Amino acid sequence: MEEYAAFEDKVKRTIYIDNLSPLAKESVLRAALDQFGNVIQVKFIRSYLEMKGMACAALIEMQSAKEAKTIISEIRNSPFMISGMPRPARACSAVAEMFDDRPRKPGRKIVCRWLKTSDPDFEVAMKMKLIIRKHAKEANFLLKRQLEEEEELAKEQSESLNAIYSKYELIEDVTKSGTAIRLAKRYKMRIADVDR
Amino acid sequence: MASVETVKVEPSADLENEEEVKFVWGRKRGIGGKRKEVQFYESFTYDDVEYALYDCVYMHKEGQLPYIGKIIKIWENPDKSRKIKVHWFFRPSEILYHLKGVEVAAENEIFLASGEGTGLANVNPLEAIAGKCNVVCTSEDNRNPQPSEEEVKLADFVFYRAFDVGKCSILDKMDDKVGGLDVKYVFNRKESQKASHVLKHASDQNGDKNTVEYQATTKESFGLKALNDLGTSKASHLDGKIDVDAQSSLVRQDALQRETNVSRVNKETTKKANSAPGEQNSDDVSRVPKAAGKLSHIVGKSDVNVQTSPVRQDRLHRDANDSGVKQQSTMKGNPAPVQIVNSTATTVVQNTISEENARCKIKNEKDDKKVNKPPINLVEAGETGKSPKDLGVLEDRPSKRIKVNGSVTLSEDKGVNSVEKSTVCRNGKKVLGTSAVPSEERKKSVDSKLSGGLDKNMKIRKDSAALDSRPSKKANIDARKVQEDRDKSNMLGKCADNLGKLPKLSTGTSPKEVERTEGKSFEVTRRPVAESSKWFKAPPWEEVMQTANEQGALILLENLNPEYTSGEVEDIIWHACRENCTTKMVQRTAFSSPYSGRALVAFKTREGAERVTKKLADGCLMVSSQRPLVASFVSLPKTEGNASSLAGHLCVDKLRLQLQREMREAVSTSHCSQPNTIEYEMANEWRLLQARSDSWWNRLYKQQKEDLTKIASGLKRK
Repeated sequence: MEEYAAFEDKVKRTIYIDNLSPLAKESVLRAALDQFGNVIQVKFIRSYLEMKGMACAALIEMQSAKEAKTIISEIRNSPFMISGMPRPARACSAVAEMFDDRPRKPGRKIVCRWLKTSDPDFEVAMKMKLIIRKHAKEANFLLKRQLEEEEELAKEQSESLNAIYSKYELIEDVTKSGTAIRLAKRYKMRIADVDR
Repeated sequence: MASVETVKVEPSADLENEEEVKFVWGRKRGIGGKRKEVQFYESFTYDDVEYALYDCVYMHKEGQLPYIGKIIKIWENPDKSRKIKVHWFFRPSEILYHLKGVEVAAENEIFLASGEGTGLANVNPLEAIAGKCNVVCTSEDNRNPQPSEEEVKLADFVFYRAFDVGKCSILDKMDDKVGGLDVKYVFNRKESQKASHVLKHASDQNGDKNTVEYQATTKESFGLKALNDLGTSKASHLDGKIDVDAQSSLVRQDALQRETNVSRVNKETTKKANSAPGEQNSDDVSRVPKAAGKLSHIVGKSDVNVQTSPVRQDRLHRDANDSGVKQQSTMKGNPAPVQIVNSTATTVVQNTISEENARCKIKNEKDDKKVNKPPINLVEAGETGKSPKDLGVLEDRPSKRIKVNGSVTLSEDKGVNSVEKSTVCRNGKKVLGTSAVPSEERKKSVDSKLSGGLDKNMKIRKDSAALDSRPSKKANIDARKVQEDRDKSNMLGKCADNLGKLPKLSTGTSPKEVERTEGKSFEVTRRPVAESSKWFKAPPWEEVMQTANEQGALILLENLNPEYTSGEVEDIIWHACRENCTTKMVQRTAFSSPYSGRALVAFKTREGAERVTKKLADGCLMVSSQRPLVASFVSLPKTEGNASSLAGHLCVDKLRLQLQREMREAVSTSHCSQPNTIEYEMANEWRLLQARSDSWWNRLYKQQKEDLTKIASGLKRK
């Protein structure tokens, strides 16, 4: 009972953070969140059924629930980037089911029953099973779609970023090499903030 | 005595036409001022809206959400300028800092200013009023007439606390005077003054139409709130197809749009008689309740009694469109405007589920009677530019498998382009031969769900054909069904083996075994731990899992209560099947189902795994009476060798090398982004996507839960 209470307390102090890059290791996460408070533990969540390209998630235990809340609201309010930009990480409060080493809930009784084939519920249950499988696939599909969307956005942004960078380079080039100044002289225009 | 004057107000620059804004003074109150030159009033009518002392109003603020205030004084100066003194309310966003650690009760909670100092009240020109606001006091103070639930729901805002502007703190109790204002004017006033009767336009909340509420009250609430939601099924309404029998409903748009004129325009376009509060005012308060599927539709059409110049309306419409367009450009042609200002996950609801539905619709043209969701969803489908061949498994939600009562949909693949996914849906009762199917009315295209997209189509069909020819014994059918399902759920195409093996296993053995243990319920306690395992520590889960994976002894259990722990699942398996195993509950993530938990179960031997799977498949193990367990073989997807970077983490190609070097050396590369950078904008795009995905998942799981509960209601023993 006590164990469970301690666990619940831990849950309150823990943040669930995802949209993490696989490159973000524990040290990085620690350093990132140190500014908010004392990081007690960092544990990555692995479901082993992950698809390629999925973002990683981790559970971070802080020293106090307040720190946890602060972090969550900070991350929610302004984009917090860990180990790469511009995709920001996302954080929310942890829930008991996220912990893989959780203790049993005291007082929980599990009752099971094999159904007789003659039981009218049997039919219903079989149908339920089918539905569940269907649901699993739907979820799978959605996940894939999500990944696709993410990749698409990334691609778009990458292109625009590169375009912006080329423009920047162009401008820099022109000013550095003096072309801009020469042109300005020729056309008798003034250029602002030129190094004199 | 009311003195009636009609004053011509100078039109603001924004209005194209010169307009007279109607203004009429109400009841006089008294004279004041040093030289008795100031005339106080109790009420006035501005732009056909009557305002009285202590009414709550919106005050226009350039470029921002409007302020909310309570009129506490009204007067006219000798130079004919009209002033009001307004006692302010604070939105939570205005005092966020002081709300740290304080729970905000409702989304529309505001705080009355109290105490002394700046920010308590101000004098403003009367023309700064942007509309009336319905603020309900929900304080439980016994001096406060308690509002009904309906009133609270319909209120624009609620408040029960005050904010002391001097001390910058929240006050729960109201004194006799709050910031100089007599407390009786703080609380709700007696009903005799308000004739608030609400007419709700009957509409389908979830469906295509929006819910428009007409509030015919003397305090008409304009609620030009900035609440933009992405809607889809209602995207069609962009064309103004709303069947509302009144008018142009202006949807909440963001403050960029707002001008005092706008509210005036609104009023004028729709009012029939402003002196008849009891009537159903064709008021253009279109408040789309947050609960319903949201949308922002911009309708510029008004069908009834349009007395005013179409010019105004168009302008409105145009303005609306403009803001819509502006915002649209960031959204890749999404038909509905997006609000970026206040994008919290709750208000941004992107209905991408309907995308999938739409796509399925495209796919299943010949499909069923049940219209999935309104065809408008095709708009969405078009938007993402996915070709019809990218088909979803989410076909035809309403055409749930369960509804296929008595019809087997085993038709051949009818050339539906590149069907990678399809589902077999069978009802245990009937089995029809493959060729006989076409006679079925409800013919769906083949539905054998494949996750791998290999030539499983061929295999399955072959199997089905083979299986079909067997005598239809119930248990067998189930077994077959299960086999097919099991095959499909194999992620990496190892089903070939299974296909070969299973048909043999299914005959004969299943009915007997199931009967032996069925019927009784048993409690699951901690299983007896085998002696040997006490002597040495069990190897870490990863190892166990990998070994099992290689041997094909790894099972995925679904439909568990997500709260269970791994140990409990192991116990369940033990008690139910007398098999030892090692389990790990799949940890919940941001997008795992909140209702159905999954667990990976590793057995020592493949046979053990098979036994359990078969048992669970043939029979029904009901856990806690509502959850039949579903088991399937699974093999883990091969993980990548190196951790590569995440999609969305960009770097400029040219600088790539340099950056990578830096990255490797840096331990901490994280930071909060500043608003004036490109990365900030891009980050916001990502957050938008994240919010959208959240909403997809929410909808999916909600839908799934409904599906399940519906079926579960058919269970006799609960």
